[in-house]
Amino acid sequence: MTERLRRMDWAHDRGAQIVVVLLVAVVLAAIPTNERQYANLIRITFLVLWYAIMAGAWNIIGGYAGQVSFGHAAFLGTGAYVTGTLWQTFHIDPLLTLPIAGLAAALYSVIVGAPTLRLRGPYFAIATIGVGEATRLFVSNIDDITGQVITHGVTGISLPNYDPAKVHYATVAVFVVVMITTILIREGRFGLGLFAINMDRDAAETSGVPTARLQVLAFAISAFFTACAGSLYAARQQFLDPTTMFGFDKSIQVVLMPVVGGLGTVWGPVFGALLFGGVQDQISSLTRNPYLPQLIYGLLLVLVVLFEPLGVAGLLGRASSAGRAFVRPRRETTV
Amino acid sequence: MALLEVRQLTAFHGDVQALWDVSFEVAEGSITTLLGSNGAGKTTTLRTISGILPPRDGEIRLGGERIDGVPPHRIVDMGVVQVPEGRKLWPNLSVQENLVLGAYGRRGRPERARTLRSVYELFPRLAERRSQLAGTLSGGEQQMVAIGRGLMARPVVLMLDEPSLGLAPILVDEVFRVIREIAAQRATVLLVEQNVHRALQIADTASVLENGRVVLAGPAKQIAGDAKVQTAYLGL
Repeated sequence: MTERLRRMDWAHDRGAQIVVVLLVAVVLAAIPTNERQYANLIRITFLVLWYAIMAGAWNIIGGYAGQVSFGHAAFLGTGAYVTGTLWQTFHIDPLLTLPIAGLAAALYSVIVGAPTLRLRGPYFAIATIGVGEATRLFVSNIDDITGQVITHGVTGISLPNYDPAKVHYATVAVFVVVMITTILIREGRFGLGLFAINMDRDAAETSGVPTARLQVLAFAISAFFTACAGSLYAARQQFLDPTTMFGFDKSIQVVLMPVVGGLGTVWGPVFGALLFGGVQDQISSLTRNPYLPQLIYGLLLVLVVLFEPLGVAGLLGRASSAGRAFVRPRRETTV
Repeated sequence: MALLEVRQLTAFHGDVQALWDVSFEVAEGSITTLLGSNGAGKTTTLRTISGILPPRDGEIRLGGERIDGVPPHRIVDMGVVQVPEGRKLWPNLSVQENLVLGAYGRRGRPERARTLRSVYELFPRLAERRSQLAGTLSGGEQQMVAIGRGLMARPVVLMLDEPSLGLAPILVDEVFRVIREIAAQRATVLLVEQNVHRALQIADTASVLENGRVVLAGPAKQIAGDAKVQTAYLGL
């Protein structure tokens, strides 16, 4: 009986999934960072991992809890700007500012989420669009509002140079932390509660699931890691502007990756990030047309919605039992 | 003193008032039933006690302590558990997963292996189907899962909303047998039923709701003998 109950706690393949994450991390960390011929590989790796961190973070609230946020750029930008400011003004090493940036965004998410997460379905999504856009406009105009130079408005902030090798290792590390977090949440009691809310909030409430608290916590964890991605971007690109970091297109992209990859699965966001990173990289080397990747993403989204609600993860799960072991969709969830 | 006391409860759905000064008591170890036609306010009363719908006015007490205004999961932790109308299972989860989710709160969690065993004893059929998806069960079996999920929280008061709704007569018998057993061994029962005849047979006390007001209350036998109840609800 205890054995059966332990399995009920979804503990049975946590270990295996974490081992895979660590193996991937070891391979990525082994890429030589100071040899010229690997510079392009490092660049693509950053792009894909950066996407995977954001998509995995978004999946906690959007995929597990089923509260679709279209405002995650607010947290991405908050992370980037907190790091940028601390780095430029107080000369703190940008990688050391990650936890501060994460906590700032988590705090912001609690303030925003506590009232809006009570809204159900499309109403929460609409509210987050408002939050995202309001945040972008606020940061763009903060200098005019306060009369002091804080963010340089839409012109953006130029940051000092920083060692790309350090950013590479930090990105791999954050990716590992995000993956392990999403695995543990999904396979644990917290995740079970989130899925129960996602599937039927009334039933969850009458069963004693603290729905408000779990959703706010999921939103805060999601915001924390999204902000870490923003900090990594700041350290890598050394330039920030509100239109890019707080842009609505970023919010959309963060939604599309887990949806195309496999909503509510652990590995779906990674597949989504690989696909999006790959498409973006290949397209930009073939043509300078910035709208072509968007067109391809849109097409992918239509295909997923029509044919495979669990995206790439669902396809792999169908194709083989080995695939099922690692992309095992917990439950069917829909946007 | 009554285990659960509802005093002058007033509740609204938005701007529409649903309950007017609803008062009744549930004695420990008893079966109390709320009767009334559709829209009389029975489900609203249960949802208000559960904390899902905050009351506008009035008091709800459990063992003398006020529980109105307490969030739903805390009320479950205090031992007041609702089995919702229409069962509200998670169709894509297995029977056992549905049951274990009933012990999510801190009240049911520590004992959940033992409670699960006792729920399977009460419903041997569910033990056979523990790994089947809840959505694939028959209506009667789903109702058993819903009641079992409620019991997983180790309730002091179990509130059942229309447990016999849509079930075949033989399953209705089964549900009422289980309710009796629960009241005898496990928890005080507050029962909302449209099957007035059967409800009055097993209940100790009854309250009749009409348009959000309690219009009649008393021992179940007395209510069953009331001329108005006989014509309006029993078709006699």
